[in-house]
Amino acid sequence: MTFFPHLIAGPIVAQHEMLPQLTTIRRWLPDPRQIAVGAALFSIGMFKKTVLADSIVRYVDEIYTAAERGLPIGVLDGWAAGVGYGFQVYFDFSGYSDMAIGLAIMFGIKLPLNFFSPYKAASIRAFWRRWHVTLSRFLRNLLFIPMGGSRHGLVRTILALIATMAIGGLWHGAGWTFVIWGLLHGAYLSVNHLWIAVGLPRFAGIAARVRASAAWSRFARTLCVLLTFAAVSFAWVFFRAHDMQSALHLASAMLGLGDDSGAAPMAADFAPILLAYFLIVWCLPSTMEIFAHSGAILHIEDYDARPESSRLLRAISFRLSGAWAVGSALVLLSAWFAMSKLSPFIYYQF
Amino acid sequence: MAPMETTNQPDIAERGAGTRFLRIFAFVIASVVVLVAAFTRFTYWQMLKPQNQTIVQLIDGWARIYKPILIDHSDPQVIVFGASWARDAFDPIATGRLTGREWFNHAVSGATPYEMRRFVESSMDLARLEAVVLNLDTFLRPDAIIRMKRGFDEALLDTDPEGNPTRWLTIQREIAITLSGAAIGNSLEVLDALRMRDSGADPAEYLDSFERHAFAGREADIERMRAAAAEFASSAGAAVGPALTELPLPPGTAELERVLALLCQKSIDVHAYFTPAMILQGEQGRGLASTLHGLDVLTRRRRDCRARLHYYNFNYPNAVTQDGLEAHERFSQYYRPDGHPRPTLGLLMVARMFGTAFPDGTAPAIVADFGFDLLAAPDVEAWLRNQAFRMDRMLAATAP
Repeated sequence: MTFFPHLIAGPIVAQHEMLPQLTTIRRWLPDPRQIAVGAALFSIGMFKKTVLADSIVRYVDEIYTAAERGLPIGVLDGWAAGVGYGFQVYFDFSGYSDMAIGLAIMFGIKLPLNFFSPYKAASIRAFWRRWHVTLSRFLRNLLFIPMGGSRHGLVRTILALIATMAIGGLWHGAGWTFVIWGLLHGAYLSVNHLWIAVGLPRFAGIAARVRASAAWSRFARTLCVLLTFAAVSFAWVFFRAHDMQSALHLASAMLGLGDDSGAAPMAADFAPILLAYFLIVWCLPSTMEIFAHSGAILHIEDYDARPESSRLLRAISFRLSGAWAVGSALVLLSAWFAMSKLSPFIYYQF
Repeated sequence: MAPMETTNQPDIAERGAGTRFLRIFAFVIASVVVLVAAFTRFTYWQMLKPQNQTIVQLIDGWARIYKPILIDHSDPQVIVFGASWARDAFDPIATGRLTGREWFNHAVSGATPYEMRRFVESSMDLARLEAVVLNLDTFLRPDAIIRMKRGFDEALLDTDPEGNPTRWLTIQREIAITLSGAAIGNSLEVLDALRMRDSGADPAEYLDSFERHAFAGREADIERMRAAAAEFASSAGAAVGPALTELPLPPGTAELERVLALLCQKSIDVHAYFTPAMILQGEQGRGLASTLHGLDVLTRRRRDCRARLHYYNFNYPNAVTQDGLEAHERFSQYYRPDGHPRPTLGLLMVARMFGTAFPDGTAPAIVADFGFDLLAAPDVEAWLRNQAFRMDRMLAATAP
């Protein structure tokens, strides 16, 4: 209960994952290998927080504050608010999770994987298998399945999904914006289930032809990733907005329904940062992939994290090497020197 | 590295690799920390020297972190609070020479009303503090909606938001000026500026505050504006607009009220003002509404204030704000390219505010008519509306 690395924000650890580990390390002795792995993971996590997440805060805040004030906001700024906050919360919380996992392994404890490149997900179901994994598991096991899960027909499944996600939204905060965020995700998941159950069989021929062509398959997958990302970004606006009025103001702007006459464009100020973040989340392997074989992460085997799967991943996978030691130290120093006290970890508040 | 199958019984080779990793990791961190600390402490020692204060206090960058710390070392008699309009205007060495008092320019780029109030609170225990120059632009601009900006750190201020002494202040400040990204960035900039100054470079090359607005290419605007100035100089027109009570209250008003209450309680004189905006730049300052709001707040506060309150208005058509219209010069003496006041203009304001002689060579027209205390003038609102009317007409003359 007092194991500090995961206490405040997660990952959410099940009793059966933690207790056996605690009983086997009654006489814990520092293990240089585990401390090294932990230090490297912690460094990258802190870098994600202080360099990547915090760099975008002031730009994102500016748009949400403008929305709170009822100032006119253009379509691009609306999307910049959703996408920007999506990156902020991702780097913030996945960074926190990396730090928690890194700290834990220094004491010989493995914590479960919590993020696995969620913005590479090609469907909303895949997104929730990769985003705050331990919360998803918690919601699935303690809400969705007791409500009937997916074994009592499509309608019951959809009702259970929507109820689960709405409660999941409430878990983050007692406000209508969180409920709407949860309901939106419930709706997305329902559409996904409907598509698989009803839509996909009708287009089985087209789907087979797409799968048969490597180029078309890649194109379709890219479209799916973009669509998923857009849907998730739209929902983030409700998660971040201070109140319902400003959330609706921003959502209207994103849909092109708002009054943007006289809007001062804000997205241009941080467009290069957003571009860099797109490259990071879509083109680079996740921390979990890089540390897949470090022995520090629980349940990594459930994910397709093979170091041999790409040349880049092979080259940068974690090793107990001098280069990794120097790199980790420099990453930690960069993270330290970039540290600002302006924004605490987002998930501290939930 | 081979996969680690167990975490409690690692093999000897893996342990050795782990130990080597940690040694290199610790060595790199320790080396960088020592180098950075040596570099930043050396710079900080330079920053404390009195002759370097113009560069230290006017340089753009990490003022939110450094100024609350530096001010405790300088123990000034007059402090300037405000945003970059004030930072660029007041060279502490020059203003100190003019008034015979020690100055500190605490203005920071893009200051928010909350930050300014907190900076004021943090400076209230300075033993020799007599007066504050308060730039109202930040408080009363209608779009002052952000609470604080990057770099602002409550932990570096003397008091926390509840008014208690900040815990761990010394160690937090040591880290901030020795082992932070701000310390590295600020040190690089300050040392570069000092090097340029010592090599005899023009101040405009190392401090943006000293850059000059160029009049080239503005000849047509200047001609039109001259005509407008002549036409409306004695006009009896008045800017029409809603009464003060109908204007929306600027979001920073509450913070201004708190600042004034604190300064009054501590018997520290206040010299409030709005930045005199350059008419040729198409600027209208903070506008009539902001000026009237400021007047309302200060007039109410003056009734029960232990200190002397002044509210200077420089922001009307006069020889300074009409810079470029009278003399045929290539560059502005008083304004930067972006319309910010230069330290030359700051000296004129200080001369008026503190009742000293104007700097040598000041044009007689400026000495005769540049700024006055609104709180000491009768029927101010009618006068302000007339000046706003003139300003509007002149600005319209340059409109495309």
